[in-house]
Amino acid sequence: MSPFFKFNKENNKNELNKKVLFNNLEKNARYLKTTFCYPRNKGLIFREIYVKSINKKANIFFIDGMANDKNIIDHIIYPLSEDISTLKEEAKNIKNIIKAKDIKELDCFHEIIDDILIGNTIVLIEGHSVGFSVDTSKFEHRQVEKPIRENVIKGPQEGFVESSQINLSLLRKRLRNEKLITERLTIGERSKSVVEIIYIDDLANSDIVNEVKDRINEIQADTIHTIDILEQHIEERPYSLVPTVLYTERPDRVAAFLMEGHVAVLMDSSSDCLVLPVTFWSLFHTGEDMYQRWAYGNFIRIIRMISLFIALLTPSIYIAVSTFHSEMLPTDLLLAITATRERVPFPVIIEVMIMESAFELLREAGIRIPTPIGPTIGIVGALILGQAAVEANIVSPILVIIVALTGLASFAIPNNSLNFMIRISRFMFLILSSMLGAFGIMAGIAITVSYLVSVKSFGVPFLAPLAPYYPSSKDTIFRLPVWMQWIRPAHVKPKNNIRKKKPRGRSNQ
Amino acid sequence: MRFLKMSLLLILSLFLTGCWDALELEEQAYVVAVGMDLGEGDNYYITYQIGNPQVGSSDRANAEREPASEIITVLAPDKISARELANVSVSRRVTFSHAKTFIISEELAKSEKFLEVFEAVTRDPQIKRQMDIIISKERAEDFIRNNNPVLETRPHKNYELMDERWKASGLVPASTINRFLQREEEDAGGFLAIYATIGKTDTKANGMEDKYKAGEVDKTGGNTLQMIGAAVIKEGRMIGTINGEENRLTLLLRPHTEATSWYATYPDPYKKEKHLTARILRQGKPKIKVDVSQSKPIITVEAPVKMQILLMRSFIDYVDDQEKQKFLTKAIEGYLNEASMVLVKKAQNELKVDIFQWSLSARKEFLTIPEFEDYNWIDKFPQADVRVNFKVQITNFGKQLKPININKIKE
Amino acid sequence: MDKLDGKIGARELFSIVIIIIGIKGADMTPANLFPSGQSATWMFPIVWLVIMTIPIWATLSLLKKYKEKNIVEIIYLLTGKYIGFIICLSLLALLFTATVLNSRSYVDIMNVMIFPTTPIIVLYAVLIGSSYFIANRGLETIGRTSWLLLPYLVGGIVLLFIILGDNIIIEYLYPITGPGITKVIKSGITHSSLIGEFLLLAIFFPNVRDYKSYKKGTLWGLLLSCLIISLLFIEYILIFDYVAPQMMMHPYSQLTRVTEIGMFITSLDAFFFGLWILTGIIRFSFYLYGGGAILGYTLKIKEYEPLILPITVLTIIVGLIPSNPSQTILILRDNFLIKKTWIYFFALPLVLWIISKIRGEVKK
Repeated sequence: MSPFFKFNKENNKNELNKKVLFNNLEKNARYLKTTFCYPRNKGLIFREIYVKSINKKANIFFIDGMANDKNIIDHIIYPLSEDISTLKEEAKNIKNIIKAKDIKELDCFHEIIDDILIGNTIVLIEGHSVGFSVDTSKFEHRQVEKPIRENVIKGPQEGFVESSQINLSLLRKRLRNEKLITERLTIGERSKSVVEIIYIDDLANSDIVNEVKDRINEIQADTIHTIDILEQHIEERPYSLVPTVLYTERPDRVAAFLMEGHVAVLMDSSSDCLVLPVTFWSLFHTGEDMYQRWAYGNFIRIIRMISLFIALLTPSIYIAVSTFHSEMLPTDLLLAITATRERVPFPVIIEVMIMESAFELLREAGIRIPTPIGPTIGIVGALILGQAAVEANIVSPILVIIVALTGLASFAIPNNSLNFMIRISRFMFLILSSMLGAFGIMAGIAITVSYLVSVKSFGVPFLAPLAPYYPSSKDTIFRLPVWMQWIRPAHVKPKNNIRKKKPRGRSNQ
Repeated sequence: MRFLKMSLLLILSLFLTGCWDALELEEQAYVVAVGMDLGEGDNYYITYQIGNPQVGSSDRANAEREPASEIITVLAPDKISARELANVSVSRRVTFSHAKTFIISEELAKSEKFLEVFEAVTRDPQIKRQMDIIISKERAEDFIRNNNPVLETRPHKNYELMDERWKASGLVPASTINRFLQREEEDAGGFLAIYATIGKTDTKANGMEDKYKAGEVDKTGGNTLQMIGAAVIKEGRMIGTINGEENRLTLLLRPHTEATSWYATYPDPYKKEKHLTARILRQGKPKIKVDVSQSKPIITVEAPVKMQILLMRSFIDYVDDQEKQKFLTKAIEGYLNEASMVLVKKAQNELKVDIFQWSLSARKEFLTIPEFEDYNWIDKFPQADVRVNFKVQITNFGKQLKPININKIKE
Repeated sequence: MDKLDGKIGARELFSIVIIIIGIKGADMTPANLFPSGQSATWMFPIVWLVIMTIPIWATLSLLKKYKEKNIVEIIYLLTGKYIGFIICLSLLALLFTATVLNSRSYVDIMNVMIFPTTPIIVLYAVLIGSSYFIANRGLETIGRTSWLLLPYLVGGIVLLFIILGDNIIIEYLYPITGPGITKVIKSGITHSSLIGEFLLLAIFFPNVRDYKSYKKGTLWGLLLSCLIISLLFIEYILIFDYVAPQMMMHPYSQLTRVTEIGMFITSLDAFFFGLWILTGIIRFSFYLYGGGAILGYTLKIKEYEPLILPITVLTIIVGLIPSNPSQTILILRDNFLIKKTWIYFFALPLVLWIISKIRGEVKK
């Protein structure tokens, strides 16, 4: 961003900061009305009332649709207009009269404007140079529903919704701890959004917490609507394929991460939560790995690990084997492939590229397509990709199997970002293997591994605790039985490393 | 910027694709068997059997009249240059990577050129050391052309399955190029190669199922291929043959072998004219002791054998009678000992070569390689004093407890 | 608690040592060793270990004495500006020659076994290019990459042994002392520079967390590497007997060609080739990084990482010079790099240690 813009912005801010409320109700009201372009802007609701108990006029401002009408009437308008002469004289201030869960005194216009914009109701009283901001915000949102992306068979079925209040309640329900801290930050220059940083004070490393806060404060953006955009603002390497922030819609996972000393970021109007710092394993795991019994959990992890490699490498291995190392194929298979490839016009790399692109196309189309015609695309896609392409001699049948397998395997990768990373790097490996066969693939693996090893997410190595080694509960490719996971992962640098007492007689460290 | 550079590199590499050593599957012709015969001058007649991919695949309908393999014979100085020469008629690049079998005619094996053939084998990276060597009685070309298996449509499958059966039956030795080169490089013993022929030559009916050489089995119908017995190769030349039974005995007496169980018949000790059929299971390695302190080596072999009696044509009740069992064991041991001594004598006097790989055991007795080489095992073996002692253990008598009472039935 | 200080621990060092030394059982080294070791070639690594105990111990005690100093700085400190410079330069020259000859032999093996028509420069560029990518990310990355991949590489070797289990013949190991025990020891000593990398590792002493990790990492690494080399040699003998490996350019790839599982998977060589090349890439990345580090310390340049690029380019250029691959490399490597340098690796740490002792006395 050019320095010119920066300068401008700071200027604006200072000007706003200076503006303090007048001692005159009319003037204050006029100022607010002009700011919101009042009569033209039907969004702002303005109401004048007379406060009997203190014999003064009062003005109420709030924005239609952001505030809870019933609350305003019951807690503000009704108490204010009621005669409460029974009250003792010294108790007769506005704060006591208004019956709301939260009320603040504000003396700057920019604060007042900010509060109106988050749904509060502002009460201005004649002769007061402060405004009262009453928490009446209420936004429309979904009810708590099942998670859509991260399904489990065994385990809780609640997902975050587009309300940070509900999201927090979902979290707090799982973590009843006095040290669970919710910090609020406001971001966005033009449209304000509230970001909540959640961590457990005596677990999360304060460096990481500060780093997160710094990064969020440093954001210079007009507006950040959702947490997905926020993720891109605070992540480590914007150009890299490697995600450095976990994006989840499951409160139970977030709670588990918080207990390990991670930091979570919630945002109003977003049905997801960011967890950071993350490692490869956080992206690779699902909640269900823990909910299922030890053996079952490990089984599904093995399956997922295999599917990760299948999704990444199968097409490139096929190319390497069929164009460079044909002696590796069993003779029967070799002859079968050769026979079907005889009338295919393309070299195998083009063939694979066509099919892989077609599959990706199908996948993208499947997401974009309106739900009612969704099933159709499956039939059409399967027909085009499978039968017809083979019968038209555009691809060989074995390739359909390979692409289908790869596609299937890629669906088993739990995290959306990880999924993209694998799917895109697959094409990189394809090119490498078509050039140099196994040598190409291995060069690719060497480069990939060394790259992954050097990536850091908020100071935590991406492949920790495997490389570099850190003491942890060995919760990586496999996991130990839950009662043996007595130690918190050291790579997140928690303040307290021990989860519980070391299980007697059976140690894992 | 780095991203740009990387993507540029990737795009660039896309254009390089398809160069160099990448070769599509359908551009190659897969040789499944190679045959070599003596040719004129310095040349050989080299035969390639190239598998036809379409035969036996789901694509069969498009190639209904095509034969399962294409067999080409060219006159060329060696196997490698013949590969290019084959391209005068084959449109694809000839590849050895799936060649399973290497067939050499007896004529070539007996000539001085036999070792030269293997020079190319060790140098070419495509040729695997695990290829099987078959010595064919007739010309290798005729062998390949006349080998028409009925059960397997594709020729490679035939060779693959045969390889497995050989290992099991023990009628032929397991002879790979790797083992051959080792024997020749060590220069201490002989090598046994599979001996085979197409068609009957002179059939013998000798009542025992394994006392045949290739071509001697009286068999009608099916493929005319016969693969039994072994060719003995000494110092790079074929010097003789042994029959199926001798080969089996050799396998039992060797310190190592891949064959582990087979069926064999033995004369019944109580009724000499009747036979017993047994399954032989090699039990562990034979204990071979070689004494090299004297000028003549003394070799003591103790070969443990497990035996399951499957058929008793004499109807004698061995199952219940411990005494009879002991007698039977002794008789079989005696038979095996006697037969192996005959074989040892044959190896010492007739073939004059150690076909039992006892040189391997002899090596243990020496501290250094020069000492071993000085001892000159290949010359010492014919004078060696050999004692063979089989230890037979009969483990069971099949699923029937008693033999059928034949007298009762006949009455 | 914060361990992210850019230093490597015992585990990373251990894996680096195994990857740079243990792999020597699978490159062209056997071609140099088998003619003289025959059926007792597998004893060589033991001889090396025994012989090199003294210089290894001397190096360790030097490093312990001069904390926070690497071997180049110690050399400068002990031998003065000019002699120190010459010694460091010779160390650099040795390392560079090793990098060039070894990488060229890798390229040759690939060229012969799998890529007969691919231009050598492409193979070279991809091999050294990937190594450069890793080296450029620093020692930490090299260490972690090796640590992460080590289980798979070792697992690969174990798998190879299991697959080949059917084909082995124990008797091939006899006569047990091969050409005779004295010859084995003599030849073992002249080849002991093959584990001379311990001197190279001493450059990175300040990059290792502490002396204890360094000692643990190097010693265990050397021990296990020698075990791996020994086992690989034994495997060559058990499969091929002692005569054939003497004539093979690269027994490892011949060995992998014998691999078959049942009758269906007839060859797994590309898989084992892949593991081998993976190890090679990491190995050369360490060599390149080491070259950059020595050059940097010798010329007293603090930021030596930019020096890796010129070294990489130079490696490729020099590596492309020999026209006839295997023989030149084989002879050069055997006669110069291995046989002539063992005395250097043996004597240098000792001399340094003695100087340091004398100086210590004088100071007192």
